[in-house]
Amino acid sequence: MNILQKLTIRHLKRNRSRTVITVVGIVLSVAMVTAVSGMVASFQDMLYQDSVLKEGLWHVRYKNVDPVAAGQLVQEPVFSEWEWVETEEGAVLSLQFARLHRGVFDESEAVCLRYGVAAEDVSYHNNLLIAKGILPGPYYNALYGFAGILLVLVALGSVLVISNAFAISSDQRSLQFGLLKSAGATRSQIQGMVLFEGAALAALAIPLGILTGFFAEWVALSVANSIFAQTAAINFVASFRVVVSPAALGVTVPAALITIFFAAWGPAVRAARVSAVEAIRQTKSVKLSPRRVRVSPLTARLFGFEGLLAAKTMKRNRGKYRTTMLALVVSIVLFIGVSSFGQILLQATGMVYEDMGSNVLLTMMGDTASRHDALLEEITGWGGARVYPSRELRATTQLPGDYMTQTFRETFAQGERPVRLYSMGDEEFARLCRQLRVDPAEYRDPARPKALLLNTTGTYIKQGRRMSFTPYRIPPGTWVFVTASAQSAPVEIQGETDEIPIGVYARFYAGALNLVVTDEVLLSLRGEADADSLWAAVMAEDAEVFSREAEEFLSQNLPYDTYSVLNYEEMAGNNRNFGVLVMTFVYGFIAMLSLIGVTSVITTISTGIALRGRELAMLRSVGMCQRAIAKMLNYESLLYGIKALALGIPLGLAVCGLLYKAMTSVMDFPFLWPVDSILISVVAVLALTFATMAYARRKQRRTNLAGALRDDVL
Amino acid sequence: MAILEVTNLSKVYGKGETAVHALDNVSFSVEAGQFVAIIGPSGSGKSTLLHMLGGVDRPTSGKVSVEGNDIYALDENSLAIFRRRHIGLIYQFYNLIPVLDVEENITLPQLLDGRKADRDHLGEIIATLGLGDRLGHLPNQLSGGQQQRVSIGRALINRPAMILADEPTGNLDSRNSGEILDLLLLSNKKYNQTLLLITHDESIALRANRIIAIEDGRVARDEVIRL
Repeated sequence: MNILQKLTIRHLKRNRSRTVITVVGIVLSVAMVTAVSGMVASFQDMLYQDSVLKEGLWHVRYKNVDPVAAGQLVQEPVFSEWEWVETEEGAVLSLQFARLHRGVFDESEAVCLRYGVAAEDVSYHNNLLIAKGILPGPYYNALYGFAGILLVLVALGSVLVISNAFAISSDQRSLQFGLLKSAGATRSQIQGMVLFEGAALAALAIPLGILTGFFAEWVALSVANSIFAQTAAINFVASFRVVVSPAALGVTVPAALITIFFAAWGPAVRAARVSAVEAIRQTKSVKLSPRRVRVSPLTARLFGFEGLLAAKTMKRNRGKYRTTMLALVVSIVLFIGVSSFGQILLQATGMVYEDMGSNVLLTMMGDTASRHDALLEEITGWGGARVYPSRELRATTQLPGDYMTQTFRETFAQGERPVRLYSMGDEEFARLCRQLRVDPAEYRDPARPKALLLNTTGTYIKQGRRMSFTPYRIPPGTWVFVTASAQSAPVEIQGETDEIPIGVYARFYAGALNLVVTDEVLLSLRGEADADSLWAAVMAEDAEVFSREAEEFLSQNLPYDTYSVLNYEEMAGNNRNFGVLVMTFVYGFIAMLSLIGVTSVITTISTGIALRGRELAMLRSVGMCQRAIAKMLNYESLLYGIKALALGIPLGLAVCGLLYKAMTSVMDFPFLWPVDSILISVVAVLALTFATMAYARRKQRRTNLAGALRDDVL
Repeated sequence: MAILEVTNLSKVYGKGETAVHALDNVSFSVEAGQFVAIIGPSGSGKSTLLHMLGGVDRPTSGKVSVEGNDIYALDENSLAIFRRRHIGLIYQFYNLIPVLDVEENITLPQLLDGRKADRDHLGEIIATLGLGDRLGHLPNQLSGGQQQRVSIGRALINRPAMILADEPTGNLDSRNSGEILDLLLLSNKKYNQTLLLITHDESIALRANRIIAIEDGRVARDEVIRL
């Protein structure tokens, strides 16, 4: 190590807190890149394992292969492994390609031609090929795209933080550089010192960052595994494991090195350019002109002399101020964007608990309607549970286009339409009739079947457009011919409601003609021979207790597998778990991003003030009291914060809009204004800038005034 | 009447064996309107003394009274306000605020006080200093001599009880040095301005009313050379 490198190491040791912050910045950046790319790799690995565990390890399967041809086929060099099962029609071959790439489909086709394997006898292991990235999978492009965007943002943030740190470091060392130059150090030697500083920090921070990244990934994946294990709704057999992907590391390390190099290059060149005299006299500061520091007179009027001085100082230090601003803006945009992405994800995957008016669903099949009714009668009232029974009969009808509204007609085909007939027990039917002011007795005659129309406003997405419509326009007294179980009967529609009854909720299909009839009518239309299927939506006071007891009761009274008890609250709990998982990832990511932003802001503001030591001392010596200095620095924080927010919030909203647009092409949900994250960023940004200023000021205050004034006398 | 009274002033840096007595029991007083030159070798304690007199640094023991007020009895805030109104400081390296133009730099103590500048007094000072055509300039657009004139203007603007100057000509060529010294002398005569000035330059010291020589933190000589 030569003397200049020794000096650099010593400089790093002496400015320990700044060095630590820089190292933390690099560590965080590298860790995030490692974790993001690692998690993508782990996700792929899990899907791959899952597909292998569920469907076996093969890539392509040929059926009905002539056994003689099969013997040669498996020897083809495009395959590496095979499995041979003899059947009556011929051999079934499960094969693995020697090399998985996008060309395997062509390879397979060539083989099929040669050995006469028919196209319908070829099947691919789609899930495995999707996991390996050979076939496009749903959401995959979104996943990779999102990971890619995150990586770019992280890299951007990192360049900012690191180059900022180097700029500050070489600013602090400019006196040293000047002295070295006057002692005969060349430009390239000075430049080399700054680059060496980068190399030293990289050597320390990159391995630490990779370890941190893997650790973070391990923690996140462990959380994910335990949540997946508890979540019935997720049917992955495999679990996540940390995958060390050489490709990801091969990208991360050079990327980090290049980032650090670029970050150090600018300050290195600038440091080398300063002449010895300029450096020693510390007069190299930007060339100022009155125009450059011009401030609107309003500032002075509003905020007094301190405000004027603050505004002017910020204008002078535009370069430094820009990096801090950029760091703040990037943090705000990322925060708003990523947290809204989390919200969108929650919405999109339907994890927001939907209130259906019931918390348990019972289904009974396998016995007669009267027996099912009797069993339900017994359950009704357990622990204050309210029960909403329903039966369903699927049928069809020829519905004239006149009876459909225009949107409905455009959305669904005309002609034969599905019909769903529902009954809901005497009690609930009577209540519905009371609501609609009709007489329930009129609906009981199977010889003259009458029905209520469920004319519920539906939403439908067509070509990315969301449509809301009322489906039917059927005058009261209209007769429709309903065909069910091979018998047709006319049903008179008399009365309609736009509300879905609680009991019907779970079976409702928006595309059908939904009719409510009495049990008598439904059973007569169905015919005695058909098996009964009774569903009951239950609003239990304690869903867990009710489900347990109902399950036990039904198991004693009905054959195995002819009943079910579904606890919505438990499902919602599972979904909430999944939501927690998603949000853990999202907020973990936000936390790391914010840390990068925060380190950058803290370094710039605090060293910015440290570098202004002499100026502040001078202001104090001409009689500026601490209160006025505090006031001035607070205005500076306020200006920083407000400008960063004024830029960051609209940009963040734009990012939200883009994400929303990207997601609504796949599914439909309303745009959510990220009010919470905007409020949080406003508070956080102001708190951060003020706290850092206050901290720097306190440090400044402790320094000796006479000493700071003397600093200039060389 | 003594405008400045220094009694048993001591300043010790460090503790125990490594303690350095920058000032050791210094006492003297200065009459209003006097021009006092403080001389002494490097490290003798001149600058420390000047900082003590200006209320920039606190003494280890002893007392400094300006116009009868014990300045170190004041809290930090009051001391800052006292400096702003009653002391004019001039440094070798000017210590101007780079973002403020000439006029703002000169009126800085008044701006800090939240007061409007006294236009007549300001005009007079600017005319005396010969900065009339430079008012809108920033410090980095001025020569060294001009910058030092601005800092003299700043020191004078509040008609302070005394001006403390730490080698005000140390960074200037001989022609500018002469001009700056003439200006200081002029203010001493014209406004009966009390002036304490640290210098290495004997020819400057000899133009003072009185020379105090500091050696090893003590007053080695104190002689009135003209009244």
